[in-house]
Amino acid sequence: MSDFIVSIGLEVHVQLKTKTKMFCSCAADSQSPPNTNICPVCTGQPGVLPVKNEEAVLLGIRAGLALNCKIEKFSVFERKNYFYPDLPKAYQISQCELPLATGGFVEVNDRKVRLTRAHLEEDAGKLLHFIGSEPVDGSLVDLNRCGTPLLEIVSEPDIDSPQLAFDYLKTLRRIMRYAGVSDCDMEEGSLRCDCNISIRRSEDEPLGVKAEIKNMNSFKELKDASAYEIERQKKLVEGGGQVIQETRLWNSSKGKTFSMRSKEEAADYRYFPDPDLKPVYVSAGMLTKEKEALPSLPLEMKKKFLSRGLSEYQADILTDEKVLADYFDEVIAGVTPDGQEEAANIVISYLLAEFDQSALSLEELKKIVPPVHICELVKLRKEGKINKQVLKTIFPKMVKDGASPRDLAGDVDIVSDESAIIKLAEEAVKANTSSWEDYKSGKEKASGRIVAHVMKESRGAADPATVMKILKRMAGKC
Amino acid sequence: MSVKENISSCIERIKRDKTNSFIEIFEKRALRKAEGIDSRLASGDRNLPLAGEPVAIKDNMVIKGEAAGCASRILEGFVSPYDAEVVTRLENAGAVIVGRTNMDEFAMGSSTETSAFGPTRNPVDMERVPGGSSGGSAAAVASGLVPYSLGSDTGGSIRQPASFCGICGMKPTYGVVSRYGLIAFASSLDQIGPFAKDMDGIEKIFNIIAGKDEKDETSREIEKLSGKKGKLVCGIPKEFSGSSPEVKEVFDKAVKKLSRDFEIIDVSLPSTEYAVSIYYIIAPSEASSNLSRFDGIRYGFRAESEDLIDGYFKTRGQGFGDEVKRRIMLGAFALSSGYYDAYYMKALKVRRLIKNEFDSAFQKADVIISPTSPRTAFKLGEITDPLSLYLQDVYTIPANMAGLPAVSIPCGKDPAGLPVGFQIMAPRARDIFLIETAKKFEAVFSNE
Ligand SMILES: [Zn+2]
Repeated sequence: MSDFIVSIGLEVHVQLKTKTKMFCSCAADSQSPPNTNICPVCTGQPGVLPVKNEEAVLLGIRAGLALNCKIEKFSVFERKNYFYPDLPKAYQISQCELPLATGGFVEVNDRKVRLTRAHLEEDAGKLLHFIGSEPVDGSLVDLNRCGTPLLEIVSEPDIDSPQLAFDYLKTLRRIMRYAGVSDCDMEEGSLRCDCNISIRRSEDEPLGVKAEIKNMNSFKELKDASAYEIERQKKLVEGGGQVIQETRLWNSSKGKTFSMRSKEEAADYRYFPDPDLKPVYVSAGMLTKEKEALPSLPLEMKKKFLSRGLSEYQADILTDEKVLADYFDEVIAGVTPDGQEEAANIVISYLLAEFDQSALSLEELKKIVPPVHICELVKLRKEGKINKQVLKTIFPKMVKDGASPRDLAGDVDIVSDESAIIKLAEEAVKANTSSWEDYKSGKEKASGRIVAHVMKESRGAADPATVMKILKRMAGKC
Repeated sequence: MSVKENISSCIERIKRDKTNSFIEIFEKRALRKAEGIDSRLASGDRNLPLAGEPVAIKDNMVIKGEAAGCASRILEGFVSPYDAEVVTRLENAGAVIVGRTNMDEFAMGSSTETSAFGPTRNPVDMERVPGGSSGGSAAAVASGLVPYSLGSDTGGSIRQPASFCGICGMKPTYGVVSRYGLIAFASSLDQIGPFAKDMDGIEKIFNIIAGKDEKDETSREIEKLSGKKGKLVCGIPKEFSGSSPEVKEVFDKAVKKLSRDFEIIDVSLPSTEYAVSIYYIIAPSEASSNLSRFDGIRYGFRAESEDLIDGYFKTRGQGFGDEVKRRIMLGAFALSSGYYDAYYMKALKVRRLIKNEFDSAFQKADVIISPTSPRTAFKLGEITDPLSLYLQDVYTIPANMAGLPAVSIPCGKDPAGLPVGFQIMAPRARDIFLIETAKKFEAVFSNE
């Protein structure tokens, strides 16, 4: 099989986290019972007019800034005309010629995926099909989602593998969530993605004819669908065929893409500037406001954590979600430089483990286990006052009732007190006289029994290394 | 006489109407509202500048709980879930909306003959059209059924019927009256405005309905400044020269009368030559998109059909009349890929030129005057060729293209006794100044 260069471009729709819809004052909440968040405007009643939602424009600007785009001072809403029952006006208000943001890039695995543009538009409603069923035999339309604001982010065809497509989308989602512009939940539809795929034999050739793939409902489906489509195109070309420009639908149960319509059948959307809306003017004030509202982004946080001695792996995990990154950022502010890796360990191995088991959100967990408690743990560990066993014992308690580690460590009485361990060791020696003699005479292994006794009596709280140290001293070995 | 009695007798007058001005009388609602006004007046409410005044609205403005239909079959059965902004403002001022008036279907026409409810007749001569598209609103005022009515003007649809029926009609500056609740024809041109027998009446209604509305992004405030000191200069565009001999004679006489008190000069608006052509690109383009929502799915007429696509074709095929379909097709074509630049974009460029030419003309003249229509009211069925009908709006379309305020006031009659309208155009947002000027001219014309 000869090699091909793969070019993938992604069109990603993110639902902006506004209180109200793009052009009316209905709540932007598509999860409510059908047709409860609707009004004359978003149901396309005769005579209604759209009015821009300033919050959506601001979030669009912030998203554009987070994606390194140029924010256009002047952009225009246009009408994209087509008939469908989930589109009440029979046109979608979108941006075509003059989008809100242009250019930009996303850094993924040390690669730069360039962006073409990011523009604002309104979402359509949803069709619910009940064909052949009772009591409704047909399709019903829910217009709750209709008119909710979207940002469409279009990439250049810089992506050369399904894995990079996958990573790009993950990174994009992470950035959007950090920036607070969208929940980007694929299951709830606040993140949607189409991709354009083409192949060619060498860099010298122009881009091949592309196929557009729709209907991918998860990150894995994006990866699977693009992998399938690349193979399909390769086989086609190697068999002497030609890729045709078309839209294909991914069928996840069959694991294949199927042709939906060819270029010839594609709709002519008859775009033109919407005469009901004034252009979007982005003032210097709006730009400043959004620059200020933009928090540190994942890459920036990762670089910061790496500089504090964390591993790639740790930094990746800790920057996956903004709330976690912020949490850890607070933790490292409260520990000494030599404790930062330990802090990362505690957060990843204990806090996240608890989080996985719990029904709480990270925000809620943060209220129970504030970052300062992690700092205390790190300090106790550094001071040798608690060991791993104690950590394991007390962490669930910290999560259970929000107790501070210092208090919990006090409960497990022997922990910090070496004299307590000496006392336990002396008792253990008395209870295991033959082992003690063996040990003293040079059988190192014989210490196991005595250490086990101490551990048992201390309910696991004693540090085995400390016990060994004490035994050695008692045996006069040091 | 109570407001209720007054409205009641107004409704009786409308019921005896022979011109077919009204599509529907809102009898129950009007009487209920009238009672409300009566009790507000009785309780000493003095904040009702239009207390009990009956007003008719064109069938393309909506009232909550009432039907509105653009005189089209496609909106059969539609009842509005909300009020148009003009309705709210009129009712807050104490006006009583008595009914909805006939019009060309979706305001596409100049004669009120394309209505699905039959043509309206001109009260001046029942064999003739009242003009259009707001023919019902004009005829209703001309025949004394109501003192005031609202129309909408996209290319002359208020001024031309005012001219044909011998009354006053005003198209305000684009955006000065909210379009919220006006069923759109061509959004960048549509403007609601009043009809009345005289300019006092126009002013009275205008003051109530004008002003910024948060629900319409394209709406704006008017400039409250009035006229200038010194002699007013009236410009006559030399390109507006295609009038019939009858209209020309009456207009020239009117200008002569004005020349005693005002300075008359020639101005030039060379690009207005293309105004009608670009109007028939821009307006149908916007209409093709605006009228797409009438698909039979949520409201209005719905044809029996096999499936979704069949439903679109049948509903729209049977629901719209020929003129509407013609314009939707024109517009869809002009916007289609491959033609957009040649038609729509080019039309917008010419529109910009027209605007600029008006701006420079207003450097020399305070107002620009012309006949409202190149001819007087024609007979029903007399003009059937769409192109000839389109040319009826040659003097009125330029003001829509430039977004200017313009009025038509009567300035005399032709030998057959048919009224001739006199159009006055003013700079954008100078609506108050326009009304003041029109009142002065009105005084001159009615002095004879
Ligand atoms: Zn709404």
